[in-house]
Parts: sequence; C-alpha cells; structure tokens
Amino acid sequence: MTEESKKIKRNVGRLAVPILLVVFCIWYGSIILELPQGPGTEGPLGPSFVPWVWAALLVVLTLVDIGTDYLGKAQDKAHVAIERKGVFDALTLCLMLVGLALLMQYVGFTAAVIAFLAVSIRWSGIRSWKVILPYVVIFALVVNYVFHHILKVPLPQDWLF
Amino acid sequence: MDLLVDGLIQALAWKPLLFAVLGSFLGIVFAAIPGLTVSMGIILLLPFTFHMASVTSMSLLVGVFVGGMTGGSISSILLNIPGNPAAIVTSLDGHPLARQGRAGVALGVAFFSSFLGGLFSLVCLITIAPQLAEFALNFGAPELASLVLLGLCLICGFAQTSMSKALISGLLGLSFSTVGMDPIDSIPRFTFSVVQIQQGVSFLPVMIGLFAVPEIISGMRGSVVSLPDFSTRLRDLLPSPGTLAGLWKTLAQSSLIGTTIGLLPGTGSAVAALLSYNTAQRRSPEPESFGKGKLEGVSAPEAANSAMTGGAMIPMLTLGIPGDPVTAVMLGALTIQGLAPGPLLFESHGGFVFSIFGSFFIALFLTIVIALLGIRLFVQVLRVPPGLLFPSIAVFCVIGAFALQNSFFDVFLMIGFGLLGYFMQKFDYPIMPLLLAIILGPVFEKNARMSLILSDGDPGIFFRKPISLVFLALALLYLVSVFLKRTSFLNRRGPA
Amino acid sequence: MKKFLLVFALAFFVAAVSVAPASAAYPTKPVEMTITFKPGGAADISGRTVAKAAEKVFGQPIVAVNRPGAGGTIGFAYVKTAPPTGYKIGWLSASILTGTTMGKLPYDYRAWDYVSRLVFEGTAIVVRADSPYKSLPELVKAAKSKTLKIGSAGAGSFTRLTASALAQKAGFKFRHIPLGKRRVPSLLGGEVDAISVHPPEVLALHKAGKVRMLAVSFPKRHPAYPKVPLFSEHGWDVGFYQFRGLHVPKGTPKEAVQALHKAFEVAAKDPKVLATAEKRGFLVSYMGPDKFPAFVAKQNALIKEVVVSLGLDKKKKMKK
Repeated sequence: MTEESKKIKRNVGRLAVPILLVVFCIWYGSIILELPQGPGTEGPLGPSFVPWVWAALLVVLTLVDIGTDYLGKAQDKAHVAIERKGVFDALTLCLMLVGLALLMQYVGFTAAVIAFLAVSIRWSGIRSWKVILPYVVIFALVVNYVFHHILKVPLPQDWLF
Repeated sequence: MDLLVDGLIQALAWKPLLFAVLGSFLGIVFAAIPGLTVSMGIILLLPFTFHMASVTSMSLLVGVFVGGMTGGSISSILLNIPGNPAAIVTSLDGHPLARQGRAGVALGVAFFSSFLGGLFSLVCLITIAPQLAEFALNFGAPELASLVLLGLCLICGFAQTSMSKALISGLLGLSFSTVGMDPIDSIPRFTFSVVQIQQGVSFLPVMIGLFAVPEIISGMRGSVVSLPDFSTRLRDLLPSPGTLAGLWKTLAQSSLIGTTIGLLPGTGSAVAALLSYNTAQRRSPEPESFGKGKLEGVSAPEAANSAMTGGAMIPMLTLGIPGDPVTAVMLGALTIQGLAPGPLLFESHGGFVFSIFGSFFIALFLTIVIALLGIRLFVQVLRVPPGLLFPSIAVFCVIGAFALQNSFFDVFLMIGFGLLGYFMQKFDYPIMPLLLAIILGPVFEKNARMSLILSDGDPGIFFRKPISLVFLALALLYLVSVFLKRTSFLNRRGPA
Repeated sequence: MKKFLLVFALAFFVAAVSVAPASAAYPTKPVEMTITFKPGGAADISGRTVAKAAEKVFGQPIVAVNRPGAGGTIGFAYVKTAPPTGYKIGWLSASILTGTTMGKLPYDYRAWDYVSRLVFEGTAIVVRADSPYKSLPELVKAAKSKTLKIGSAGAGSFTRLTASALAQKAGFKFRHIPLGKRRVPSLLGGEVDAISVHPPEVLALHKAGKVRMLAVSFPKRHPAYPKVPLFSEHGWDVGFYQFRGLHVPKGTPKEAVQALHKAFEVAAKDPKVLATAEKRGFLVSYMGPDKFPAFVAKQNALIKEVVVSLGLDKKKKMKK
C-alpha cells in the first residue's frame, strides 16, 4: 500500500466517526421531537427536556472533536487505523453470539452451546475435533446442569435435557 | 460487647459457618468469572434461602455480597473484564499493573483494601448505624442530583487521549440512558412501540458487553498478549506492611466515601468507586501516574466498594430501606423469614442482628483467605488455551446477561454494546465514560426533575440546600481545575 | 473417531426420544410461572409461597421465574405471547390493568385468560410520626385548604391511582410526587407530607412509631395492623384494590385452567401461605375462574375511570 492511499484511509477513518455521530444526533433529535414537548404531566420539566440537553451537548462536543482533528495538531497516533480483519472478526463473533441466543430458543441451551462452541473454537484456531468435541460436550452439559438444574436459571431446554 | 460475642458465636455454629464459606466462595466465583456478576449470584441464591433458618440464610447472602465485592477485582486486574460495576474503576490501574508483571501485588493490595474497607464499614454498622441512617435522610432529591452530577463531571478524569472523546463517550451513554420509561412521567421514550425496550438499557448487560466482548474478540483471534507470569505464592501475594502503611490515607478516605455512598439509596457502588479514585488521584503527589498502574488506583476503588456493603446495610437494617439492589434482595430474604427490618429489629431481634454482624465479620475473613488461596486456581484457568477459554467466556456472558432478568432482550443488548465497545476502543473512544453515564444518567435525570417538582419549578433548590451546594461547588472546582491544567482545550491530552 | 461420533449421535437420539411429550393428562411436566417483579419483592414472595403450596396438589413442580421490568409490562407481555398450553402461566397483579389502560401494553386486559385471584394487598396513606395529621379526615381537611405533597411509586403506579381516587372521592387536590424507589426515605426526610404505599414497606417503621399509617385501602382490617382504619370506614372507598392471582395465555385449554384452579384453591388454605400472609401483610382471598374474569373487568372499569380522569391514557396515542 502506498503512502498516499494510507493517508486517504486514515482520513476516511477520521471522518467516519464524526459523520456517524452527527447522524446519531439527528436521528436522536428526530425522535425527541416526537415526544411531548414542554412541561410534563408531573412537573415543570417534561420527558423531552433531559434528552434535549444531552443531544445539544453531544452536538457541541462532536464539533469540538472534529475541530481537534482538523484545526488542532492532534497526534496521529490517536487514530488507530482500523484493519478490515478486525471489523470482520468483531462482526463474526457478534453474529455467532446472536445465532447462539436465537438457536437456543429453538433447540435448547445445550445443543445451541455445543454448536456455538464447536464453530467458535475452530474459528479461533484449534483445529482438532478430538480436542474440540469432548470439551464442548462436557462444557455444555456441565454448564447446563449447574445453571439450569442447580441454580434454576430458566435456560431454554428442548430435546437433549 | 456481650451481644457481639453472642452474635459471633451464633454465626460460628457449623451450619451458618458452612454457608458463610459457601457464600464467600460463590461470591468470589460469580464476580471473578467474566460475564457473571454478583447481582446475578444473589438473585439466583435467594430462592434457596426461603427454606433455611434466618441466621444461615443471612450468612449465605452476606457471604456472597462481601465475596463478590472482593472477587470483582480478580477478573478486573487479570483480564481487564470487571466483575461488578465498582471494579471497572479497579481495572484502570489494576490491569496495567498486571501487564507490568505486578499482578500479584495488585491482587494482594486489592484483597487487603477490600478487607479493610469492609471492616471499617462493619465497625460503623455496629457502632453508629442508627445515627448514620438519620444522617442519610438529609440527602433528598436535590442532594442526590448534585452528587450524581459531580460523579458525571469526574468522567473527564477518564480521558486517556482526548478530552472531547471521553466526553462524547459519556454523552452517548447519557443519551442511551434516556431510553425506556421516563422516570417521572412514565412515558415510553425511544421504545419504537416495542414492549421490551420499556425497561430501558440495563447497565449490567451493557457492562458485560462493553468490557468482555472486545476482550473475547481479541482473545479468540490470537491478538491478545498473554500476561507475564507472576508468583501466586502466599508470600508474594501478601502486600508488605510498608506498602499497606503507604496506602493508609487512601484506605481511610476511600472507606469513608464508600460507607457514606452506601448509605444513600439509589446511588450505587460505581459512584463510590469513582469518587474515591478521584479523591486519591487529586490528593496524590503524582496524579499523572494514575491510570498507568498505581497501587493507590487499585486500593481506592476496592476499599470503597467493600465499604459500601456495610454502608448499604445500615438503612436496610435500621429503617427497612434498601440501599442498593443487593440489599433490596436481602430485605426480601429477611421479610420472608418473618423478620421486618426497622427500628425495632435491634430491640426485638437484637441477637439476630448481631449474628448478621458476626457473619459479616466472618465473611470478610473467609473472603480474603479464599481469594488468596483461590487465585492459584484462577491462574490455572487462565492457562487454558485462549482458543478454548474465550469462546467459553462468551457462553458465560450470554448466561450472565440472560439470568439477571431472564430476558433474551438483555442478551441482545449485551451483544450490541459489545460490538459498540469494540469499535469505540478501535477509534480511541474510552468505554468507561459510556458505562458510567448509563449507570448515573437515570439517577441524575430522576432526581433533578423531582427536585424541580418539589420546589415548584424553582432551580434555587439546588443552591439553597447546603449539601447540594457543596457538591455543585466541588463539581465546578473540578471542571475549572481540569480546564486550567490544559492551556488550550483543543489538542491536549486529558489528565490520564 | 467415527465410532465416537456415532455413539454421540445415538445418545442424542435416545435423549430426544425419551423426553418426547407423552399424550397423558395435564400436567405432564413442570409448569413455569412468570413473576413480573424482582426477586425478594412483595409479588415475588406471595407468588413463590403460593406456588410452593399448590405444587403438592398439582403433582408437578411450579417453577417461579422472575421477568421484571417496566412496572410488570415485560412479564405480562411474555405471558401474552407464550404458547397457550397451560405450561406457561403468570402471577398477575393489578398493574396489568394500569399497564393496559395507560397504553404501556398495546392490548387491553382481555388479552389473557384469568384463572384465579389469590391475594389482596392494601395501599396505605402514611405520614411521619411528627406530622400534625392524626387521622385521614384531618389530612383531607388540611388538603382542602392547602396543596399537600403526596408521594407514590410513580406516575402510573397503583399507589398513585389509589391516592388520586381518594382525592377525587374526598374532594381535594394534591401535588403528586413520583418518588419511585426513594418513597420511604423521602417521607422520613421530610420532602413530602404523606406517601401512598403498600403497608409491608412501612410496617416496621409504623410499629416503631417513626411513621403513622392513617388509613388503608383494603377489603377488611388486617391482623398485622388491626388499628389502622380502612378508607371505606371514612366513607371514601375507592373500590379497587391491589390484587394478585393467576393468568394464562389466551386460549389455554379448559382442563389446564381447571387443574390450576383446583391446585391453587387448596393452596389458598395452606397454613404456610396463611402464616406468610399475616407476616407480610397481605390477605388471602380466593376466587375461581368462574367469577374472576368478571371481577377483573369490574376492577378495570374502576381503574380506567381514574386513569382517564388524570389524563394518563393520552399516552396511548403517542407512538414513541
């Protein structure tokens, strides 16, 4: 990668967050607008007052943040260039966790955990099924036993215990 | 004194003792396993106490409470994943210490600070509980609003690189904290007509997500640098008398802050940890070394959060008013035993009250012993290959988020904030202000608006009450000092 | 390795078959009872005690599960959407009526089937011991000449509605303070003149002479505080009470409802339940599935009247 494209990338990274913040502020503000304005039913400050304060401060600070980046001489070190791999990893893990939470409600906790662990352990670099399988099965059964049967957490149970 | 001895003897009977050991152990385990929390432990164990004798059930719950406050520091220091909201402050200096290979010292100091803080609050509980409970009643809505505002201002102190980024993180948290049922008018806000969102953003699932998920991601993809080895021999864990003596000021002021905050219903351990950390930092001759691995930075929040346990039990036992969610559960446990905590409890069931003090005392001892011995086991767990360890932690995070309110919504909340936390860290926005703001935001909004209802819309109420005025003045002084330290607001580093 | 997998597959299969539902009479497996409030609270304690007692007759465990949040609406919504098999039941409270009339829940009270009422809880008007008001009429008289500050658990809470209904009946106006969890300390600290609160929260303070319960909205005097007069004795009966009982998702089979009714009817006479009721200050009063739905409808009408008069139902129209 050339010096030039690195620089462009860094600038994109610098812009992305403030833009997201501005979008968030606008969106947040648009929802506050739909709340009842003015005094509330119980007291002088209604339900929209405090959100307005936070939104206003957030806008001001976002501008300051953009200011520090472009007008000031902020150290470039502050902008850790975000690699594509990191984004991919984070999204994958979170998707797997969402999958675990959803799957659990259909096939029960134990089976879902076995599936999740098997996939995620392999993904994190341990390849041997001989290591993975006994570990995940024992782990899932023990955890389910402790939390569901002893501590009575209502984890979904389906076929398989 | 006789009563105290009697209480101790009652609590030392084999059954209460057994359950005190179990309680302290479980408290430490729940706090030390990333994803699980002390609140979850108390909630899960409560139904078991319904069928126990009163002394035994309180030994168990007090044990979990005390053990949990100490155990939270373990995962905080070693994994940078706090086990309870108070321990998020501990990780600021605790984890850097572990990275420098001084994990043993950090843990030892954390355990002893917890022990001493807890002991201080127990002494307050035994000697001046009724007076302290009366004092706490002076804190009305305006006082609490000002106190929490001070807490919010202290967030500036967590600016690691840029002040504006820390404040943005805090304000994002404040914005999220307005989601759900409006605390005064009971109007659903930002719920998009989804019933589940009405409960708002509960901070424990958020805490689990924000802190644990980024560590899991780096842990699973092998980008985590393993900690330098440290000796877990007892001799190396115990802090030297010199170290402790050097910390006595920090310990004293933090214990005092912790006990006081514990007295105030609805403020919580995070405020106690924040205030004491900040006090320690401001009084230190070298405030700039905080956040890079300073023992005071571990000792202050740990002493404060342990001291909070005794503080929170004071209004619970003397007035029947729970000081925090954990004591609220204890209150339930006591009433189901047919004991109604209140001014008469000391007279009608004096022996029982002193047996609670006895269990508290025993739990403090047991906790430090179990923690010191158990640390070896915990370090063994850390030696499990990260490829197995971190996916397993992820499962605990899911269970931990779910079991607090038995809600899958909380699990998705945890995952969502986990992703947010990962990207915030990548873009250099600190996550601690976000969480603290989510904890403190609703308390501030509620009490500020309530004050104005009480005063009929007159904002002067915040300045006429002396306690409130003091907190506001402190907040202003703090902000001024922060801005004076920086010649220009743009382009400067925070007092990290 | 292959053998290992095969054994596992077999184990899975056997396990799956062995837990397949047998077509025997209800109940064939444990029943899950949703409690819509936090562990250790009033609803949790009465619910768990009753469920424990009902198990003996019911023949299967009744597992209490807390699903707290947003004044009970989270748990009520959960029961609403649960499959109507009789294996998911809910421990309801009058909050279900405030929640639906105020539009926190997007359906009305008919979205569930009602099994039985078990418990009544009172709502008391409480002042500090040093307060000049010695009785409810004195407080009402004072409230007519100046605006008193009366606190409750929140804007749409049951305690607030009771206080407001009392004010309407007795003909006074007051400033409502939505104190939330800080209701008792706030009263003790002198921020408000009185609070409307469920008696167990202040019983110990009342007995110690720190606060005074002026009157309680309850069907009859309770043995735990026998000297406290009822609203109705002063002629200001509000007509609705905090009640708790069982409800099930709409369309639950009749056999299941009857089986639950039988078990809980026996539980209502259980000595342990009665002992807890006396200690915790609630009243056990059983009403079966024949009369309970009509009772709920009547209570709903009364509560709705107060909610509408306070303008709290307007929130229904707002989307977000």
